[in-house]
Amino acid sequence: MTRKGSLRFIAVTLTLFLCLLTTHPNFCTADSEVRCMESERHALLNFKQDLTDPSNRLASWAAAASDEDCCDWVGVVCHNRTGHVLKLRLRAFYPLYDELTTDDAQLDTQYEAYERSVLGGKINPSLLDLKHLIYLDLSYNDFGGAHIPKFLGSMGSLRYLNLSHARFGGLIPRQLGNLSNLHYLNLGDSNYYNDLYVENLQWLSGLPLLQHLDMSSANLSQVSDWLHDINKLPSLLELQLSYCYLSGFISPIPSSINFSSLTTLDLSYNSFENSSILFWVSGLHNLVSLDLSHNQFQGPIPVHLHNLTSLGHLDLSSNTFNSSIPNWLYSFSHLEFLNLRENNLQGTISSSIGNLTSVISLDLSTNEHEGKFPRSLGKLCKLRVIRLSDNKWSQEISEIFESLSGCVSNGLEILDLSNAQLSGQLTDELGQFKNLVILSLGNNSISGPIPWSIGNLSSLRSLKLETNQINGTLPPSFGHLSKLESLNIYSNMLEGVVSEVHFTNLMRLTKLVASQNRLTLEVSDNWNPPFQVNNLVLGSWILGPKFPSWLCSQEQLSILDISNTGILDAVPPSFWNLSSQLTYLNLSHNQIYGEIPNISMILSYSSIIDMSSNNFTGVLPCTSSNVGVLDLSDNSLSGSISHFLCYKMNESKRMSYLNLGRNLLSGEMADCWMMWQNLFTLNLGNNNLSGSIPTSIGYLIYLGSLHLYNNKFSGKLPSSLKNCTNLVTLDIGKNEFVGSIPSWIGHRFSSLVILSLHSNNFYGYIPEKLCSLTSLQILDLSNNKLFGSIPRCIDNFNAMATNNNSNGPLFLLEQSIGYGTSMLFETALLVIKGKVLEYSTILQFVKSIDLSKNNLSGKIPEEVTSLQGLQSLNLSFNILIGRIPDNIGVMGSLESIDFSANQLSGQIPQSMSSLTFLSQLNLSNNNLSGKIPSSSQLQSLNASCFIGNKLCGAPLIENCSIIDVKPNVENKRSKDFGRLEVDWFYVSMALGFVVGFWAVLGPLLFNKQWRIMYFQFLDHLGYKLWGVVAQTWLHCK
Amino acid sequence: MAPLSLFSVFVTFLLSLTPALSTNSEGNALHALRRRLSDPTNVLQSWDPTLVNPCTWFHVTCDSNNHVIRLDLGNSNVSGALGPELGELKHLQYLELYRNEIGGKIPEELGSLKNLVSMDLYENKFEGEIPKSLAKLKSLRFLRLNNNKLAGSIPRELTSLSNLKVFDVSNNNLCGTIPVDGPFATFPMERYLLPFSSLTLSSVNILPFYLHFMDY
Repeated sequence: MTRKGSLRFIAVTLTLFLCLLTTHPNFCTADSEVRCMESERHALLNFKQDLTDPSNRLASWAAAASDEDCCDWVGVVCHNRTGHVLKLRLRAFYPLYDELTTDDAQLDTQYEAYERSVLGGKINPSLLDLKHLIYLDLSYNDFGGAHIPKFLGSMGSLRYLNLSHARFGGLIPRQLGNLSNLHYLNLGDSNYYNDLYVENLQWLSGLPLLQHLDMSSANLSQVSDWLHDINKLPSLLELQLSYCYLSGFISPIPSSINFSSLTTLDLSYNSFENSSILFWVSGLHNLVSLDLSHNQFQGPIPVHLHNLTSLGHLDLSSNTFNSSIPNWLYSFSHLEFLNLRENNLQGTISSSIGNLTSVISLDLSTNEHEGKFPRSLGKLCKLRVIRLSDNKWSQEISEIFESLSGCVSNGLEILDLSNAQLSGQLTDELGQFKNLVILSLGNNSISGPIPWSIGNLSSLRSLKLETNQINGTLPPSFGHLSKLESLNIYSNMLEGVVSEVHFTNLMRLTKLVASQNRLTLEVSDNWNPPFQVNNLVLGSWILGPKFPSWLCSQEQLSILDISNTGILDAVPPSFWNLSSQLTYLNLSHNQIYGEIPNISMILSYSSIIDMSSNNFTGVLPCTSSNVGVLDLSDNSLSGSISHFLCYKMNESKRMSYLNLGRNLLSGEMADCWMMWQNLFTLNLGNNNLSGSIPTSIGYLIYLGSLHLYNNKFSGKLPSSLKNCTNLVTLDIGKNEFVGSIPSWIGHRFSSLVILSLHSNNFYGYIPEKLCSLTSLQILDLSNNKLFGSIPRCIDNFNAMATNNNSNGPLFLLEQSIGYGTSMLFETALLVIKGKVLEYSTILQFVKSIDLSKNNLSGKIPEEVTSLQGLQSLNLSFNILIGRIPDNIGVMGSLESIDFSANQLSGQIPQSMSSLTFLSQLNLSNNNLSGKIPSSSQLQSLNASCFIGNKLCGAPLIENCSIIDVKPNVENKRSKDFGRLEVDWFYVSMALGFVVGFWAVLGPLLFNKQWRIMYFQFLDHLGYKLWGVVAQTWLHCK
Repeated sequence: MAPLSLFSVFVTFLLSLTPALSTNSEGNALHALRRRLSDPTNVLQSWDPTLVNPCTWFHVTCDSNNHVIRLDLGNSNVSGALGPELGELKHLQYLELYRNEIGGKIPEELGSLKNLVSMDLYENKFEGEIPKSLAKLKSLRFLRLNNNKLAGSIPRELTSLSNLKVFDVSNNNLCGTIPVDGPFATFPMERYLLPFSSLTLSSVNILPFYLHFMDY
């Protein structure tokens, strides 16, 4: 079978070769006497007529000059003697991306050129007049989803038909099965834009000569027996059925495989699960290339593959194979390309990997491999690509460098060892990889300095060392890396000075991501950097105190982060002009002063601007409607906000996040929120804004977070606020709002997590409707004029009743910005444990109720004890009466309780001793009495927590008198004998009994005479008694 | 000139120290503790190391200068061991780690918690000896190490803890004699409660003992 197959293969190749030999020289003879047929010339012109050709590729196909020879037209090949059109080569040239060589900017230009060059429109049946056409290539054009014309099936001479990547759609016509001469059929689309499908593949049986079949991205899900139909193609050499919606069911599996000459099989991007269906693959002994990637294969790497020893290319990536790499795989000595990435492969790598002597590219990344990588890797002299990232190698990086230091070091182009649990230091051996283009070592625990030898990597285009513990200075040899385009050293411990020398030859640098280091940039004032960067991320470097004016020369900037860099200067005006291209600008956490001009020039879609925590003054700048995020908080901006809000009222604002908090803004809020419908976060807190909230606030229907904290807003809450039904945070504390707490808050804001109305003039009852806020975690109504009792329905606050936190952090913003993700968290100022603290990243865990400083009366409802997730409960400064709920001990999460300054009475419940997290307690100034329960926790608290009551016991100095002491009921779980106390009543009773007993019995035991006397006395007493009883009995009778 | 340059060197030195002083060493120490502990009930989930200080973390209390003064993790189902970094919590007053499954040795570094008032490590699985360094905790009033697996003797040095009010090492594998100096002498034996049932005199010198100074 094998021999027969290979013979056939050779025969076919020879035939093709001979064909080429006989026809090829004639293609080139321009001065041929033979001219094309008039009928065929017409056919071509008709064909052209129905095509769209925006770039005029077919300009040479001119109708005007009738004597024009169509054999000279672009893409037309004629027979040298007969003059018949043999070939139409109308492929558009799609730019190929190669990680090693392609320049991003170049690729963009190429792609634009490609898009202009595509042909489209209709395919005219005039093609049928090209009776001798053997070759038709329309690939990479764009026919916009048109059907593949059925008439193509009548072009019986066709040997080569390529309609790939041309955006054909609909049913693949079965008429193609009439092309009995076809050797090559390509309907595939590796970009998956095609929308083709088939109902069956029986028509394939009409193509007995077919050697190459590519139907990638056509939907074959309706074909249950595709393998049977393919099996009718005995000449098949290449089969590509990638992304064909094939699943595991093949019924029944053919008993023998007719296409055993197959050299290439691509079944990637399907839904195969069970690798046992692959047993037929084991018969394909000539297979050179096998791609089973992006399926759902499970279990071990299928043993059926073990005799495919001719394989040069094996891709099993993105499945869920979970074995270790089988030993037979290491014997595939022809293997050049091995991709096993993104599986669950486990275990260590055998040193037999050194037998894969042909291997050029090795990708084992994103698996569960562990242990050390074998030194035999160094024997694989042809290696150019090594990807071992995202595994658990736990190895020293120097060991890997050492093992690669032999013959591998010269050829290596890509080395990816990121996120691989590597430690140790970078050694000078790094310098030997002279041809290295990409080096990725990010997300490891690599320490020590960057070796000087890094400057030897003269081919290096991308260097990633981010998130390690690399320290020391940046070696000036960096300046030698003349090909370097992307440098990422984000989040290391680098320090020291970076100067112009470091950038001497870095002409091609476009990405410099280096924040979270403590590097100091020292360059001359008029430095003109050799590079033009897109991404410049230098956060937490020391760039100041002067503003780095060289930035103004960077005209390609799209991402700029110079936050926290010690700048104490004004921004030069030319910088503001530059910023027109920025999508991300972060100047925050400096001491930049001066006014901010109108940022209308920033035109990038949804750009992010963060200038918070500086000393900017003057009025608020107006911004382009395209700005998505604007953070100007924590500056000294003053004046009104109306001009800002009402700027370009006819344009809908893109902005989703607006933070103007912590400034000196004043005046009223203009009624201009109509165009701000995309707002998700609005923070105007900590300003001097006044007046009432305008009605148009109701337009902000996506608003999730509203902070107006600490202003002078007044009036009632507008009823239009009801429309903001997505509110998660309503923080309007410390203002001058009046009126009652609107009960609609309860049913309109069903997602509310934080409700803070404290320090206003809200008046009246706490509405029972508030209890419908089942997501509520933080309720702060303190310091208002509320009266009445605490609603008993507070046990409806489900989120406070549980310790489970299924919620993730409360994100206000999560945006990826090229080099990483920018995350902004909701914040809240909370009084917990007697201190004002700002919560952000962990806010989702906080559960707190503060009703203090009102006029609330009645008892503390027992229902409060259902809120067992509550961390802090503050009811102080009210006029509450009655007892502290007896089972308060079940509120096991409580860390802080403040019931001070009420009129609570009775004893402190014993159960309070089981609150083991309690670290802040204030019960002072009530009418509590009795002994303070004892526990390590309660005794560790300050005595001042209990004063102003009639309490006794530790930690108060007042001892409890004996009568006050109740038997101590210690927490049942306690095995602590510390509080075991003796009740002296029982002790003395026992003691009394013992003394009395022995005082009588003791002498009798030890003195014989007394004993005799005692028993004689008893006898005598007995007789006397008997006499009295008998006499009485007789008398009665 | 020389003194001036010396002075400037000194100033530079001081300046170079400033960032070190302002770093979040207490937060780092607590986060290191978190990494050592297994926390099945997520009581430490709020311990986010990216925050500037640990003062908002649950079970952690700070003073007004944002120094950690309390660590309240009693009865919280954590297991694992303590590490030397706890010694970084220089301002800690209350170390409440009782009723957990914490094992390993009591780190010697706890002796540097100069402000510690209460050390409650009772009902855990601590092993090894009671570190002598605890004698440096001059403010200590409550020292409860009972119900662990501590071995060795009670360090004599503890007699210098003049503020000690509660000392409980019962139910361990301690041996040797009870100290009689310092706070151990202040309280007459009648004021201790000795649970005779657990006192095994049969094995000489092995005294699982219990001292409870009732005077607090």
